[in-house]
Amino acid sequence: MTVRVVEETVSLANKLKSPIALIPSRRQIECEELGGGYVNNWNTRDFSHYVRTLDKGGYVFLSRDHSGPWQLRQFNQDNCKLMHREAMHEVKSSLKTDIDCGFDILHIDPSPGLENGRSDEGVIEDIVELVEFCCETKQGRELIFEVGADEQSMIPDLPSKAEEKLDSIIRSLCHAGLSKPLFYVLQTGTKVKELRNIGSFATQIPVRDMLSPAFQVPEILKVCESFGVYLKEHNADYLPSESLKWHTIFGIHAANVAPEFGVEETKAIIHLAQQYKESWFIDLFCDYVLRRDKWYKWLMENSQSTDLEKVYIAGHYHYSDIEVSEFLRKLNSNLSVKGVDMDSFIRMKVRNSINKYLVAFGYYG
Amino acid sequence: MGSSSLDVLILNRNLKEVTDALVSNLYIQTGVKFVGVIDAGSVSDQVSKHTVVKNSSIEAKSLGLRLNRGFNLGIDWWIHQSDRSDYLLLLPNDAEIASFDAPNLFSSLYSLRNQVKVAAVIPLSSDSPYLHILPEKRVGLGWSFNEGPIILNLEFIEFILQCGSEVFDSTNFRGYLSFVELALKVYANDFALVATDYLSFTENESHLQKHHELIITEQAQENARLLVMEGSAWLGKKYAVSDGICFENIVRLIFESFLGRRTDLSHLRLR
Repeated sequence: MTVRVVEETVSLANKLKSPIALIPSRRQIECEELGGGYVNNWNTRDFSHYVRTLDKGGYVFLSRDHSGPWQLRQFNQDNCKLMHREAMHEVKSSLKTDIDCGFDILHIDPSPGLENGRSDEGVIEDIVELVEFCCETKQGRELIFEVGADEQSMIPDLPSKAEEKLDSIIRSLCHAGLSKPLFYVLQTGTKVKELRNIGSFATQIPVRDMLSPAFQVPEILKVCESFGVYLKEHNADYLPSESLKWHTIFGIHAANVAPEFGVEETKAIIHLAQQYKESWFIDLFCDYVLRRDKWYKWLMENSQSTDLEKVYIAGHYHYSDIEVSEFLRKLNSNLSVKGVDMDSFIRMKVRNSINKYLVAFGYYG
Repeated sequence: MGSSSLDVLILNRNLKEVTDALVSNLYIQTGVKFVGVIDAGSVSDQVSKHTVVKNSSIEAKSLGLRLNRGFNLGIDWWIHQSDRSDYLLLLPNDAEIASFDAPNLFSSLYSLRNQVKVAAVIPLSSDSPYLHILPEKRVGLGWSFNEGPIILNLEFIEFILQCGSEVFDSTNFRGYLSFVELALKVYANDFALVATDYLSFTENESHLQKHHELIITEQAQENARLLVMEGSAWLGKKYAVSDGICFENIVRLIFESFLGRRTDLSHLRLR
């Protein structure tokens, strides 16, 4: 997510008069008391205010991605592993601000608990506790809940296992007097690594440990429909049109795309710098990004990614860093002297990238 | 050969040592009575001594046969043997035995004999997602399996050959969705395709990575690209469908239709 991605999304939603959700993770946008996020250094309140002001027609949903304990950080200020209660307390303050700032959809995902000593049952208890907290906090406001984890897991969601898990979650929510979620997140055969989608939905060839989408998706859709929830796909980035068209044919209800749009923005910036021989920018920007490790988590085992590809992968994480902001300001100024409208070019690239999904998902009729 | 329930044929291309080791392991570890080798155009010093049938044409020597043509060659040889067993296990030579419990597999198949005609059995690899959902009897019905080791029932092979067809389509050179197409032939004719972990093999990918020049094949990434490109062209020409998911969806619906008629088998469904 970047400022331009936010602005172009709002613009497209208003132009098409159709709902699109902006879905920041907690690292991208976070409440002020937890340090804010890396996107334009916005905190939740500033981000919400910015979008609501821009969204004249009210077509944009503010949606929180992966809100749960240990989703923002694993360690406290004393560099000690966050205890469960501590992590739950932290996420509640994040959720309270989301609700106060008018977020519409909250994705409750305590699945990192599984790597922090929580059992499957414990994770479901956390879902119930967090949904209950949100319901007590919302004070009559309408809130949509999304539950489940994508995890880019190595274990695909087998329909029978997904059915058992969803049944447990809904039973636990009902037992606590809470409504079922509107969206449920399940694996559909998508997985983002480096600058591509390596899942079976994208490649259309067998992928080790993954099921074919033609087997998995209709089955898990049946599961979702039987429980009256919508299927939400995560990691839909870089899917080719041949795969995207099956989303509407199968009837997948919703999909997340990130970080493809931020990557497109960095590619556009680098392209302009290369074309207009602003090599100083490429040197400084690449050096800055490569010296930090934001690209690392996206690499495949035995990765053969070039340095430039690593910069494409992680450039957008740094747009708001003081040094990078200055590089970008100077690049824009130099290009302007050469008669190049850097902002318009980047916006066009970002818009085209978003439009690929809007066309495939039927936004243009 | 005839006294065992299962004969084995291994497809070899220029990996004599690896193939012969697999033959030995099968004899030592499994108790099968017959293991032979199909040779797919190997150079003369890489032909296994266990070879029972080979294609030494210029085309086979330069391009190989791949799974479909290679398995068909073995099937064609096997079906003409007078002392063949009831089942034929076909293996690529990079398969390694993970488990081999033929008695229990055949016991399960025997218990199904009055319910359904099992055309083929897919041995699940140790990383198959289906392992988590196999029914109690360790065999389950499915349609979406990746290409690899397979056990074919003689009755099904004879049925396919009587139709004037072949078990695997030779024109689908790289075997794109080959086992999905097999599932189409199986369920469209009221047979069933089952998966099991009584028999299980792992694929030793290092042979392809280390010896792709000796095997005379492309590296994995290029092979994957050609698999989709040539496979999509094959699908378009044969079935007039635009992509693999479309074809898989058709086979899924045929499977659903089969289970719609055979509700007595629904407890065996892999899902």
